[in-house]
Amino acid sequence: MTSDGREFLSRVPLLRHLTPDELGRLTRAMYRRSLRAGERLAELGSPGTDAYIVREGSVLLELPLAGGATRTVARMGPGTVVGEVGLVEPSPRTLRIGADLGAEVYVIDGQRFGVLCDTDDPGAHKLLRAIALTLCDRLRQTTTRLQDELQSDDSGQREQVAVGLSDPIGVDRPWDRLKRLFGRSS
Amino acid sequence: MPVRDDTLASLPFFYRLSVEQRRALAQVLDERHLVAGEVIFAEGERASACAFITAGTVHAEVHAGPGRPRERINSMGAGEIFGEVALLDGGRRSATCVAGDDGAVVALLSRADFTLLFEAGSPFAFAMVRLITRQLARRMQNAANVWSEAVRVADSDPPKG
Repeated sequence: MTSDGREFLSRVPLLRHLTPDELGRLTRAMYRRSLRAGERLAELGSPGTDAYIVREGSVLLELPLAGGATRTVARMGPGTVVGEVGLVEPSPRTLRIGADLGAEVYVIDGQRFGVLCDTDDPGAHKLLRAIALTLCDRLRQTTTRLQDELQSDDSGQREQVAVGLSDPIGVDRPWDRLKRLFGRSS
Repeated sequence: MPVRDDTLASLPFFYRLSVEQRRALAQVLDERHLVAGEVIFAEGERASACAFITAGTVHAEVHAGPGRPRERINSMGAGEIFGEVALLDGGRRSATCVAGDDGAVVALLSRADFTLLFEAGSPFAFAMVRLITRQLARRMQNAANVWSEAVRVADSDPPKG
């Protein structure tokens, strides 16, 4: 990692609480990758274990739809972190991740990051804490929207959301499943 | 009231701690004995602590609208943790937590004490951060899946008119 790279990473909001030594150890779990326009980092449903810090250009988060259509969910620019849920909890990607018009990213290797966590590395845990706070914000916003829906008398809207959300357990209705998903974010 | 060391030793979450770490933690935990129906955390209040259940049952309930009883969304027993997100983020409680029919005993850990443990490099605090982050990641994953399904449903069945 060049000094220019470390200088850039020290200004990334999610890493700003790390000391230079902690950042230095974390960079050993990273490598730099160049992406051509439209090149994919991850497909929907593929196993996700790494996270990406955008260095240059932009990265698109997309949801493929029926008939080959795509909905662009977000365009992430320099200094933002993408795919961090996979870093914390390896799981299938819920969105497609790819470069827009070319991009440079730092890949945080999930396996090497896991070793840092297993050895109680303080910097790795500061990053985890920062990721958790980001997830808190996102979940709280979602919970608020869900509770507004629960208190709404617009049952037609509920049914519209519920259509097609079959519960794999088959015990309760999809709306009950939604309530369970957000219920314990206290 | 501090928590007894042997009480912590009996809970799965504290197995990995050394005896010294567990004793230090026991000193900062605050044990509360709750009668049936007693509220531990109230929905909407500012969160400043999490709770470990050492005995009994705790129910999580949410406000379901004016004039309607709270809806129960989860029940937890001995060894489980709740309100843990408060250790990282002092937002407002999203559910009311009440003791079950036989009451409950909980050990409260304040955000301030947790922050001190984290900054001192406590393996317990690090383990808590890993646990909390994983739980949040799972919830976010579930939320993203539900949202994706909703978008696909809306896309395949656009509003009429």
